[in-house]
Amino acid sequence: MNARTWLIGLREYLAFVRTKTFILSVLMLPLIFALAFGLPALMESAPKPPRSFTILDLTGRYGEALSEQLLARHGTPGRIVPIEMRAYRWVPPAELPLPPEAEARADALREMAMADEIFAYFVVRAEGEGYRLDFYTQDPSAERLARLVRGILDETIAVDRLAPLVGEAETVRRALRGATLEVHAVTKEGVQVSGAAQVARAYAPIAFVYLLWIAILSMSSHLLTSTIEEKTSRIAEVILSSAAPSEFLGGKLLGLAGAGLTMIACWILTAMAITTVVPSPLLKQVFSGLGSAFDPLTILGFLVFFLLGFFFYAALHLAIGSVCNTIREAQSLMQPVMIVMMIPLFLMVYVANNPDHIVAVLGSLFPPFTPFLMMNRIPANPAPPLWQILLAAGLMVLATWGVVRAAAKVFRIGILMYGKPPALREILRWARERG
Amino acid sequence: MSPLLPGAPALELHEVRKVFGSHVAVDGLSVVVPAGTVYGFIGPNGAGKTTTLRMIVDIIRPDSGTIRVLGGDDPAEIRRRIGYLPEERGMYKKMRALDFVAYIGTLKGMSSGAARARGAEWMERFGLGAWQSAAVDALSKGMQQKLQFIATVLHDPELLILDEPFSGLDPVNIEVMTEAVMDARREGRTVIFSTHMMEHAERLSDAIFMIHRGRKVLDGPVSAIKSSRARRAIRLTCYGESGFVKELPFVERVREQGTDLEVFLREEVSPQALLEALVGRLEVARFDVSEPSLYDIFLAEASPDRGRRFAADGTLVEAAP
Repeated sequence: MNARTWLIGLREYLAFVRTKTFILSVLMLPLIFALAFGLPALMESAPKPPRSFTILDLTGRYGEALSEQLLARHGTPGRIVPIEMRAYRWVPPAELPLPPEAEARADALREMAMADEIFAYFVVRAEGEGYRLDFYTQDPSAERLARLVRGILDETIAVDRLAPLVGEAETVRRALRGATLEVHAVTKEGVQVSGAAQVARAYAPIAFVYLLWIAILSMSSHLLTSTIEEKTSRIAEVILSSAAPSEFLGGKLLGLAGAGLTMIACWILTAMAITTVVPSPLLKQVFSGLGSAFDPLTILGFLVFFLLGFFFYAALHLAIGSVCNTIREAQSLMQPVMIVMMIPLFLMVYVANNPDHIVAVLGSLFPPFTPFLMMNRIPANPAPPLWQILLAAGLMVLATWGVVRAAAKVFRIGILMYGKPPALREILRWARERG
Repeated sequence: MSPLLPGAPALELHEVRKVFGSHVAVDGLSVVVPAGTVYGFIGPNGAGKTTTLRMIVDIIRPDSGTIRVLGGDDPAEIRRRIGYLPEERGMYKKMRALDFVAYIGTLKGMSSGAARARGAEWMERFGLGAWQSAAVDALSKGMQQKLQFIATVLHDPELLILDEPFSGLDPVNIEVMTEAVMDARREGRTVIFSTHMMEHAERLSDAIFMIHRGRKVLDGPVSAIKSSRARRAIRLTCYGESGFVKELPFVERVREQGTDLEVFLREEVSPQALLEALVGRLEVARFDVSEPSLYDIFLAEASPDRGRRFAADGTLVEAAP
């Protein structure tokens, strides 16, 4: 590593941090968070008109008790039943313009729902020895309301049937009241009520592998285009009359690795800035959850695997860029590289959930996947044994060394070669050449 | 490393050969360029000029043969002592003009401060003073070319390798560039420049070498080359029907300008033979055995049936097969 390598690296670094790609990538994290947390919060804060529904009881036995219990337990003034972010307003059937005949009333309600005069309606029917509840709705995602009504109907039927045997309806009702369930997450820090922090902690491996992937891809693509530019504008020739090809290549890799670390640092800083500026407890929980995935080993692993993965893929992109004159020419050579890069993305969720499955273990030991899948496994539970991390790192170091060396050989020949790009076989021959 | 003494070779090429695929770009080229001289490198397009210059600068390696530049062995050290102006200019379009030349200067080992100061001086001298902080792509083509030249000479190289330094320049800028090359020579630097414009080669060079199809066909001081060819061009002023002259078996070609003819004879033919053939058929007012211009020599050598080789003093050593 000499002065010229540093100079070339510094120029490459400065050129990249001024590009739109870099600025966009840095802004992307706050944007993702804004979308993920800002939009629901925004929707929550905007008042929405309540959706009206009614309950039609064709048995004539439970309608009244059902509505009474629903409002008594879950209702707010104005016969409003709030569920999550929505409000549902119960309308007594008597207030609706319905015909007197039972079956005709259901048809009339359907007409009203189709005409958007009512959002949803329930129909209670006798069926054999039991009962049947049909829920008709404009939006089937409102099934939380349906489950609520069904629970109360079940209880009402049980009370109705058991009360004559037990004697008092209230006794039956108390007996039917089940246990409540609360989920608690146990972490190294102690026991916490399940919340956004735990969800964030669970998703941390996926989130960080995704960020790693984006960082490596955007750096590498920049190297591909900048190499093609240097080749076609003949800057390469000027640089190579002042520096050795290895210094040129090394400087470019070094500069972009620095830019990549800067990008990650910017992400961490923006995340910290957002939590400070935006007074959202939810956001604080999310970031503390993400942060709790980061013990020193994870941070070290992240840096090591980021750098190795970066050098591995960046060297490939550089070599490809050096033999092409246009992005178009590069695309066909890029295809196999992109396919290899995509596979860990598809495996990501599976590996996060099954970090010790044989596929996850073998995948994380395969160098092209190592940076992504190993980072996927390290913050997961159970964490991989240390020997696997070290073996993966060792294999990755060897693979990266080989790829950088081969890329340097291809680069030296390709960067000064004009005209039609060589065939893949020819490129591989250069890569294998000695010296 | 101390500068070379004048007269010591600044560049030695020995039997250099470079093949691209099935195309022999440079074939057994040997040449010695003494320090402190301006050497014009001429040849038709595709002759192998750029390939040879790139090999001298060590951005491509010869397949065989040796190249010794400035008597040195360490490639990094040699790169620092040479300045290379490539045929097609290469600059970072988004970079500011002064930043670009200073960047190349620092790559050549200058300190950043010195590179910027010298870069500003040179830009002033070339009339680019007001463009220091302009982006490179805001500069005109001629300005870019001058900027590239500044990047080539900023670090005071001992050896300047200029690939087609005059192409694309207007007459005013050609003068500026010529002056800069003359200055470099006065300062004791060695300059090797390629061109296909013979008037530049003739005017600027102490010596020239010419390659054609990858092989050297001429090499030596301009005066020696010209005098060795003196017998081959004859200027005639004559009256009468002169159409038969170009049909004569020993005449290679004829250039007509009214009553004036310039006749080029084939090898080993004495001007006497021409004079004898003319007597009685034309009224000869002038018969002048003269030095051909470099342009004529260039055309003769680059014509498809030529393939001779010449020694360093310009004498023919090997006739075409």
